Amino acid sequence: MTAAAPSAAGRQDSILRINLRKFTRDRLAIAAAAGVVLFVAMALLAPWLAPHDPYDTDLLRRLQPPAWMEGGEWSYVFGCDSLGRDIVSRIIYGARISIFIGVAVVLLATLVGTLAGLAAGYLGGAVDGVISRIVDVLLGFPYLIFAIGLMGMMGPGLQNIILALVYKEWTISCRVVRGETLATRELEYVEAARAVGASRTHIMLREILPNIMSPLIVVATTRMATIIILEASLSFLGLGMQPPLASWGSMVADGRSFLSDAWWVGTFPGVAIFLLVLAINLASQGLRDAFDPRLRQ
Amino acid sequence: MNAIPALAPLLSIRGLQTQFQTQLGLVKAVDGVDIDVEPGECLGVVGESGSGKSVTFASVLGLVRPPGRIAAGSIRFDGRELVGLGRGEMRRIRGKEIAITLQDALTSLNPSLTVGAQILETLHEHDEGRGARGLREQALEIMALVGIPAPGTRLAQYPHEFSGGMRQRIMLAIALACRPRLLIADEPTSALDVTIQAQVLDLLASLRRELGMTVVLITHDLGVVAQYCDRVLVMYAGQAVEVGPTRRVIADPGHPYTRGLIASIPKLADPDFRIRPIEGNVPELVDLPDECRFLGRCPLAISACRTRIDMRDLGAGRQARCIRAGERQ
Repeated sequence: MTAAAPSAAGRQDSILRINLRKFTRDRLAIAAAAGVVLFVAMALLAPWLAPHDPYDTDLLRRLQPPAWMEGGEWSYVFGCDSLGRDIVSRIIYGARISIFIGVAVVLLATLVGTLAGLAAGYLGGAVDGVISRIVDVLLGFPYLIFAIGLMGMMGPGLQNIILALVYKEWTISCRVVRGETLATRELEYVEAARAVGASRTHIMLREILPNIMSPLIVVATTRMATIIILEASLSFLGLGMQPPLASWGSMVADGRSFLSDAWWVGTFPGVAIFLLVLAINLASQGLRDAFDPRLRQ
Repeated sequence: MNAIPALAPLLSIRGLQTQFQTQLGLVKAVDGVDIDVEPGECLGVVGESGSGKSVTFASVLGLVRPPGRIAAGSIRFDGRELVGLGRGEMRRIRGKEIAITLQDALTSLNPSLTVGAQILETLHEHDEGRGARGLREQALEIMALVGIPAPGTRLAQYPHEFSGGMRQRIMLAIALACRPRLLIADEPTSALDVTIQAQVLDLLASLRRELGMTVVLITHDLGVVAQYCDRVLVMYAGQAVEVGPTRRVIADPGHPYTRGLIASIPKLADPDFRIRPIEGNVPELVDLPDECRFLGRCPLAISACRTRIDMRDLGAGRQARCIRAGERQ
């Protein structure tokens, strides 16, 4: 390698930045990311965007069909549910719940999993033994059944959904971080840091962590989609968000009983789940391609 | 030359045994090594891969990790025992009193941190109440010292923006940041081009003079040792086999292994010169019998070599682990 000329513009060319630049060249991924941003904006701006109050019942509009069908009205584009509430408004408000839970669970789980994974991978020995066995046990439970059990014990509610999912979700990032740490700790620069008297905390957080950020970010974004589906599943089963709160999962559950004569009640929230999860998956795949060319199929 | 030194050695290793428990058995990577490093000298440590030279000096700083361990012996630095020192105390010695630069300059820098951050961290670990600005100035000073042009700009760059020689200079800057009394340079030039090698070694020599540092230069290149080191220690299969003032050892090696090493250096000036490699391989370091370890490859071997061989004093500060040392060939 020759004396790499300092790049013309900024000198701050960390590997993370280079990878992010690669990501911006992937058109499909950028389009998907834009989709995700739209959903997030929708969630944030819900009070201004929603045409009606999502909790406002109007029995005269019970199961009112979408605008383009007979009996529909353009101010209630996707029609109304069994209590006459505007479906568009409920979907817009529902985005808040899905996205908030997705982000909260992934952030919390990644934080816990990263610390546990770093400790297990770098300290090894008994610490690794204990953490890895806990992970093994947790991974032995099917995800949904584990969450259903916890929700059954803790009762429904926003905080409990987040906790129920984090209890198992942290194992994913823990495994990834542990594996990456095991590989990274053997590298020369970690040894070099030890040789100049760096502490173990310093080595884990400053030497190893920045170098395993790429796989960690990729895994976290991929998991976001799974978490959103899991939240929808819990709410569908009646264990998640409780009425009258608008959650996409419980909206689909609502619509299930009217599927034959009012298909719109369950279909539109279902499409919303599908679109958001698809957008997140495509965007995270783009991230993965940009961050780790080895993983490209 | 350094005959009998009046001063106490800066680093004194006695009977060091560093072992690795592997699935094949107990590997005695370092088996009873004695080394004295005198203050201010440059000691060259040579030997082929697996001779235990790197492990010996990793042991000094407590850098050997499980399954490896120091099984026996004593390592004294300036009179202070380092074997069995607590983690916190060892950390204060690493980088501050004794610094080590690891073999591969190209991979010894963290790719995710700017080189400035990496130099500053070392200073910070051993900070004694200097402010952040003081530390930065010190980092700039040390970068200028190791010959990095425009240190102010370079400080904010990442390792991949540096060439191999420059990265080795950064490594030296990190090692020298706290002005250690002893620098262990583990193959500082093996990843570099020959021309850059000479630059880095010359830099090391001038820094040593400027800072009055004691240097241990680990290398497999006897040519480097001949040029830069006061004394040389030859290691073979986990043991020290010869030690003495560089010029005398090279002019008249006492151990057949040293002789073999010298004979296997190519000589450009003499077109008829044929490299004479040492036949055979280093023995496996598992379950070694109590006999001369060079026996299988030695042109001088006799039946008396099948016993435990100790270092023998050859006078004038020289020792060799060979019962036939001192015989005239």
